[in-house]
Amino acid sequence: MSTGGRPVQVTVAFETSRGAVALSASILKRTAGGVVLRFEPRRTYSGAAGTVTALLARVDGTSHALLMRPVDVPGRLLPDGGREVTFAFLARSDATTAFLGALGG
Amino acid sequence: MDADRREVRELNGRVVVVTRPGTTESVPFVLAGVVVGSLVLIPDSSAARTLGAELAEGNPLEIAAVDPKGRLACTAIVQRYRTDPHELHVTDPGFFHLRNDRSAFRVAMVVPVHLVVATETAAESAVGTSIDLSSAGLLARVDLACDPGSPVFASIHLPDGNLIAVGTVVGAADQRVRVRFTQVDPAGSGRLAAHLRRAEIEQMRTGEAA
Repeated sequence: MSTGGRPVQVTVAFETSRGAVALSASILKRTAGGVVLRFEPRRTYSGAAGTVTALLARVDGTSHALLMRPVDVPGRLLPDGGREVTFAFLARSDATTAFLGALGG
Repeated sequence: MDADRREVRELNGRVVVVTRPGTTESVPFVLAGVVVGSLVLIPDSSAARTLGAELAEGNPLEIAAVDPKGRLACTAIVQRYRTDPHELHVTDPGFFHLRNDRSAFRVAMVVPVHLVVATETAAESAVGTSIDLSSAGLLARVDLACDPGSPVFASIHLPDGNLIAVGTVVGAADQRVRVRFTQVDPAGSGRLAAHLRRAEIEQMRTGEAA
């Protein structure tokens, strides 16, 4: 997905046994209750199923911070070595509505 | 000392607001210190003009300050006011009442925290320690470059396990970052509430306000 012709970049953060991890990802598409994210090769999502994960983003100057869980880890391997992982928001709220609305589409 | 009383010396050098009881007219002063039973307040010139006759000896004044823990207030009586230099002496009640009118009570709690902040171009991450914590946010001592408004992830290492929350940076200066939570992992919010309640009771018992 893109805003202004550029892919929407987000930061994904989650806790592991070795501390918190932050990764960058891009949004491939939105779903009814979440998003599908694309992770770069060698920087793929390593959270276990059910890991509470934060999505941090600035879309058109507006900040978004949401909690979600992966629903299909480790996700789908992409031809370039990246991975596509689907996440579901922990709860529907005004914040998720605002974020999905900002993504458009 | 009761939990709702604060030593006035904590506020030395801070801006306080002086109001005549029963009115809403408030003017800023700087609390210069405590001298033998008096609070010494230094007004700016506009403050002196605004209060004028209210600064007469024997008049009661409301003095209030807002600090990171809540709103502090006391009533004091004017002892004298002089203009060269401008200086207001009022009775020192010995304490400010803590009027914690925040929606969430903050408690002092030092636990490790890991913050991740998304900036316009990248993510910044740092480990630090909490200074205070509430169900609505935290203040952390952490070396993290960020701006107010930035979205933030917080992993809070409570004694019985991590708590995950997200929110917004509402202040960042001097290696201190204040975060307002917008969402807390529901699996941990009950534990957070229990820790806060225990800490609040302990502070009330020992008289150490957050």
